[in-house]
Amino acid sequence: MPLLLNEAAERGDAPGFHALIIGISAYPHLSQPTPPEPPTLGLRQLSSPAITAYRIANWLITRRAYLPVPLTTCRVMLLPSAVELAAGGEPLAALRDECARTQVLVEAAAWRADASRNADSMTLFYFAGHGVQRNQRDHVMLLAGFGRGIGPLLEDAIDTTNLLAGMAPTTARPKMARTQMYFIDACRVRPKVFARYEDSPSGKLWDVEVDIVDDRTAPLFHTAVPGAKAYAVKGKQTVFSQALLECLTGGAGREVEPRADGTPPYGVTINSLRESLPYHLDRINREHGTRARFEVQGGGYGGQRVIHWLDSPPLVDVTLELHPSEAHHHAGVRVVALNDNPDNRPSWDLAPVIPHPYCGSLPMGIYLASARIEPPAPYVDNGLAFSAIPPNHRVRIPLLG
Amino acid sequence: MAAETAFVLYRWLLTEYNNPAAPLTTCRLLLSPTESEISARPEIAEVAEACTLDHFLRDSTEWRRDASDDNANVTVLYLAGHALERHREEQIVLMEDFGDGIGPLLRNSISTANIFNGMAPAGRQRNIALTQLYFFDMGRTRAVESARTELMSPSLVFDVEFSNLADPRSAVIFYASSSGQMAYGYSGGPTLFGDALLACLRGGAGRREEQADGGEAWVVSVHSLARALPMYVDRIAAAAEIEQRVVIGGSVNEAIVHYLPGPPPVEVALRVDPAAAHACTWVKIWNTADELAFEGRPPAPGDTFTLPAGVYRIVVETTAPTAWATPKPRWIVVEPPEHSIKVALTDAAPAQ
Repeated sequence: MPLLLNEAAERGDAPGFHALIIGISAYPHLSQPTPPEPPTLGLRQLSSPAITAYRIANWLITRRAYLPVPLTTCRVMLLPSAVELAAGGEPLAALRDECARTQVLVEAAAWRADASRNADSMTLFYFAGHGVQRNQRDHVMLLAGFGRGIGPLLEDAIDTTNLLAGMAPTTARPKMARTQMYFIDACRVRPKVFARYEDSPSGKLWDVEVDIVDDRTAPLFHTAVPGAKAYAVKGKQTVFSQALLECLTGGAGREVEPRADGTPPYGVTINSLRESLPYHLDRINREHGTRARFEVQGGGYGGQRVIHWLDSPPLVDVTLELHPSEAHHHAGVRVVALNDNPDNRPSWDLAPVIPHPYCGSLPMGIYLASARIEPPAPYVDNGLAFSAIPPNHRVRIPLLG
Repeated sequence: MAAETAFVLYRWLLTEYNNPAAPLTTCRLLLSPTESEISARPEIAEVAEACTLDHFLRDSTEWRRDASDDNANVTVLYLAGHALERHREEQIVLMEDFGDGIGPLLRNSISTANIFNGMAPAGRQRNIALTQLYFFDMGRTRAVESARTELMSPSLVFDVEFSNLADPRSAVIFYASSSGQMAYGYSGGPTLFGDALLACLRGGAGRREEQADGGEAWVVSVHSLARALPMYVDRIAAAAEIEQRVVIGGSVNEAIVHYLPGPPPVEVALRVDPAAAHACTWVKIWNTADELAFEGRPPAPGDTFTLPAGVYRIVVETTAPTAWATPKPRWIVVEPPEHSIKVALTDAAPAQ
């Protein structure tokens, strides 16, 4: 059941948001007794990709009113593991698909056709599952048929180079969506076995035509740096997808051009997502003891485009400290929003500042931090105006005279 | 224009680049200027060797060797000249001696992908610089079909080692144009991309950076360049009525490139809404030290004024006779690359 949402017929050629989301946890051919290398590269079953893919799709559908263009199609292909199915929190079984290369080719072709109807459309591709790397720049996504032992090693796989190239505008598809986002939530390890072969071709999604200017904004987010692993918590979503959803729901918020309907002028852009992801990923890494690092390829023109509107000012993790540090025993601090605060009501009123440094959240905005010093402490407060922008801000109030 | 732009960026590196964590240690310059470039700026004929294949291979080898002794190193490669695109992530750059008739057609050319891949961490260069910036200031028009087979043979700059090492580089590629598109320059001046790049490095891509001691610095970083450079080029291209868009490739991971001497100047536009209120609007802008940074009537539409990046309080007064109420003071954050202030006036409340 790949189509979770399909309003293509109703929306016709109007701009729309088209998503293709694949999550493969249960690789049928990795369940067999371990065959000799190389057919399965020593890979094992996974327990996070399907639930990750489901949560990404669910988020899109839940937040559809806040996407910059209407969510028109959402194709979801899941092959959940027993662990994910047993958890039972989400309807993964109902969305189960074979996720073999033939099915992926069919869905990808339909997705591309939908995306080709209006240049102002947007696309999202999310793959969670096993991945490998053959050379410095590529990323190969292993599909469910991987390891069945028929044809070349990577017959049941697709790669990012072919995926992105085939989504470019061409004479045949001049109205291809110009804003495209790709997330490959998979390892990028480079098995030594590849060095044995003259070539390790992967399956292709499509033939690639090259004939007109490629003016897409098409960032490609890899959830691992070349040669490294991606991380997940067993039975839960991947570490990267947690950070991504935190960013999309405000952790990468910015003040942007207001919408025509007068809703708050806050949104997440491609640039702000790229800039804020490291902070959220680091925090989640600390929480789980993981070492996920992501890499972004591409972007450029159009990076300021909003990809998700926010319904209120996003929250910022703010750390406040007094300098010198000993001053926090002798001073309280008021933090007051400078705009839209007619009563000058403090957002924070800390007396004393304990713990020090003090950490908390403030809505994005401009603030004045001022200290109240208990005499005869030898400190002077000059007030400090600061701008809190996601994901985090550190305020250091100098109190030396 | 390519040689002149490379020379100007070289001068910037020598005289303005500031990164205490990675001070300028080596700077290699190869130039093949045109006669008109030499006429306009005679010193560029003296300062560098020609960008032939041999010179390029020699300097690239030495450059990689120098970059390979410490992961904290930073490398910059700026290439401008003629190029063809083999595919989206690979340009074939033609050296000065391209077309000398010796050997295969593209013997005197190099592949950008080969350079990028050859600069990755690997067994024999595991300590290579992890911050690498590539600026490919060239057109990306594709080779015609009939030339495809000949395009298979540019000269290799590096052998690329098969490695299982993780590649955590911040190795960003700034392409001057979209795939399939031309790159432009000013007649008798720099390239459009080079001009925008220099403006960004001089503050147009500045951003505030919190320091370990709690202070702040203004820096140009990979992310701030990735945000500002496409906007600068887009603005210049729009004014010149040409199509040129910066595209970013490689690994766009954050890293500080350059420390600015202070808050960079920011062009500020101020728009009064409704426009009819413009003539009776007076604006004062104060910085956080309560110093008046700007006072006057809003600039005409399309005009701008300059403020150092920072936090400001804006006070708008309406002069009589007026039908508009005086808005409340507001605080704004002014940051590069540009800032637009909208002053929205509402009808004055009717007299009771």
